[in-house]
Amino acid sequence: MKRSDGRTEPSQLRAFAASQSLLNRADGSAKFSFGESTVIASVVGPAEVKIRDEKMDEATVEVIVRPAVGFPSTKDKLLERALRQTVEPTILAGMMPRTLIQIVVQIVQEDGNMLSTAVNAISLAMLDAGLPMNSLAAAVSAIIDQEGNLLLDPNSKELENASSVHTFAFDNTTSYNLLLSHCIGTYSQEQYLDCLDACKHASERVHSFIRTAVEKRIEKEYQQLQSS
Amino acid sequence: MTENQVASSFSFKIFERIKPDEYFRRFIEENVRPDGRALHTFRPTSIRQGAITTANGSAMVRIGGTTVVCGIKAEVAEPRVDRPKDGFLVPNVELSPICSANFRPGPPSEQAQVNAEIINQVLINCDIVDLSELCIDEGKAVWSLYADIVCINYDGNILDASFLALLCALKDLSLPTAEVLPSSIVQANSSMMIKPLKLRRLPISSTFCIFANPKVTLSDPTDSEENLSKETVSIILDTDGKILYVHKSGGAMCDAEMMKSCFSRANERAAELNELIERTSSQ
Amino acid sequence: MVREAEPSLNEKQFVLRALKDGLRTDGRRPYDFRSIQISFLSEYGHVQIQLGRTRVTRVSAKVTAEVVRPRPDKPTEGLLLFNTEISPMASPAFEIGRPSEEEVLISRTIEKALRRSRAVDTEGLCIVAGEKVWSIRVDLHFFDHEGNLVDCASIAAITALLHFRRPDVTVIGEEVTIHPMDQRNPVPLSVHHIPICVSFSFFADGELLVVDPSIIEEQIREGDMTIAMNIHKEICALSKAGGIPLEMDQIIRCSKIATTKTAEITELIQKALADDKAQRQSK
Repeated sequence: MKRSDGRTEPSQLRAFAASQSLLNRADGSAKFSFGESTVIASVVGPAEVKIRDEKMDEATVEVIVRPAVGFPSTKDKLLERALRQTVEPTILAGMMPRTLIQIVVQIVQEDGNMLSTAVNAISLAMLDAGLPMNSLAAAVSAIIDQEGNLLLDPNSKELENASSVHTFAFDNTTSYNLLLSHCIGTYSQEQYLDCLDACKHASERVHSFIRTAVEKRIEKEYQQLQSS
Repeated sequence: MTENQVASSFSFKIFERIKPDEYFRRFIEENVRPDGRALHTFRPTSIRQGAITTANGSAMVRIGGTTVVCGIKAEVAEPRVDRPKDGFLVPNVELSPICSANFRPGPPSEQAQVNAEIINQVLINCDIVDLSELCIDEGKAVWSLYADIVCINYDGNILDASFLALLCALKDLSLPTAEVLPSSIVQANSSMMIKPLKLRRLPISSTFCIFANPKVTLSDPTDSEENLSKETVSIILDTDGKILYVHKSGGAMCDAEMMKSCFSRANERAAELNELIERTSSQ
Repeated sequence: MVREAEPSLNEKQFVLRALKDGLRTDGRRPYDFRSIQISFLSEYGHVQIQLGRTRVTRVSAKVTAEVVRPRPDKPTEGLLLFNTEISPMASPAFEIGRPSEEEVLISRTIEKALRRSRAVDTEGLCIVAGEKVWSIRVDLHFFDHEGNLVDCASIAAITALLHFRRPDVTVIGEEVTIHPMDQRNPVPLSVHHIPICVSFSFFADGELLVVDPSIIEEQIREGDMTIAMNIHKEICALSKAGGIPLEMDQIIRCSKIATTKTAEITELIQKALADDKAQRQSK
């Protein structure tokens, strides 16, 4: 089977790319891409919180999504809430009461899967900011196309031919708990569970990629430290 | 009433105020919820179609203490350049301070915007209505439907209630026949009313929330239950058992088994509501 | 909200004392611009500009085009829109939905320098008079704020407009065909001239001035001025909002500096565009 961008397997993901600490004004930042889909996330915090958002026993997490083109719409509001609710359980917010964790997501280029790209970018940015966390979220999307095939990591061309779109995020604990499931279209329960399973396996690949990316970076920093 | 009894009836209210999670946990351990429901039951639901006579279509829905009114106003608009045949259906959810003290006046809250967007995306992506049925004259005039979903009393589970209200209002919708005159003025004939929109499928939303300790799934959460649990699952099914929308976020407790049990509960709920909608529209 | 930390008295004194000796804290001379790095992304009209090497000011601009109906009062003119909302990514001091005075000034200056100076030929964007025109929008993304956002943004915007290609169209009678990018070579916008903003900050009652202020210089300055100029030595916009009064000689001196800076930057932009073109052709 041949996919529109030259991939040969339905379960093949596009090339990942990631870089950390690319911004200097934020406490942590990262860029993540699935193929052409690229997102930059920045994290500031723990910082001063507005009184009306203040929580007495934990940090307030705020996510702001900036679209690539135009002003933020209600679509971005939905994305903001989904992202916030996905990463919030991974932050040890109880360690930083009465503070604000502000996450800004700038969509750089859109080619499908913005939700999963953004989850991965935020995870990397939070690592870069050194926030206390209990696990790390990683997300992958899948579609069921009109012919009933399950395709992982669809691009925008494949999305046009999708009968349902599924995005799942998992943490990296031993049981790979489900953090987010956002699925829209028309599909059966079996198809849903198939997608869940396929994305779970694929998210392990994203997790190991994040791990290597961070390992490499720390190794490099360590070498620089030793040589200086 | 003895003095002792008065004291105890006060103290459980105080208990609820100062330790809501513990108060709630004690109910759940007995497999019952503070409002007397079992864990998997939905609140009693009622529908009244045509609640607003001045609107082109309307419905009022109650799910327990949550009351939502949906009114649809039709206006003539120019279609988009790239979609000359399609009309517009614009859902808007309003959560004003009238329905709960949790909402502030001013621009729509995140919750209101997110719910409107979910409804919008399900309408667009799940093949529920055919917007070309709203065409008056191709490229010149189409109907634009503004569906205002207003919450009057908020007690949790706004998505289920607003979706149900919108559906019933769409079923109630009737529009005057219209044509574009050569002078490019749209003339509507209100003596001839038609039901322009056919619903291709009936999406029914069911919402659940998941408690971490003890690990249970509650159907149709109330406001206080929503505040105590962060993890929610919303499932929208049509009456043939096809899934249209699943959203789960806010925690890491839910696994595939729990999702399956939510699906079967949602299926039962969809069948139950389908019957209720049939009964209301045949009246 | 998170506020920008005020520089301490010692920092202020240090910067001012150095300036009196003709030195700046980042090693530049008063009339030096930071190094400008222009990088093009894969799509046409998507550019990122960096001022400086380590602590950089970074802005990217993305140009997109769509076909819309023209404004009724200008049926033969296309639209040119700028989105200059600054996200908290650039600095936590910026807030969404509540533009600060600084943000408003930046967006007004960009608007005046690029749109009101008629840098882009909007009449050339007309497809069918009164029916269809191109709407060109420039979205500016502010990533890092280390001073002088306005110059960085103006360079990003004009470079992106110069780099952008829109799909070709053919009009036969009323029929409009838009050719996809892969079928027919896309066409560039016609840009009349290249306005470049050059900003100045003034210290010590206007006696000292620096070009391309860094963030600490912006925080302690007494006055500021931005001149938008093109290579023909025409002033396209001049903004001096508040701050200390300046002598006429000072303004003439600034405009002379701006002339040389504009020439340098324009040359840099054109070289970068030529390099990118060669690279794209070799692919």
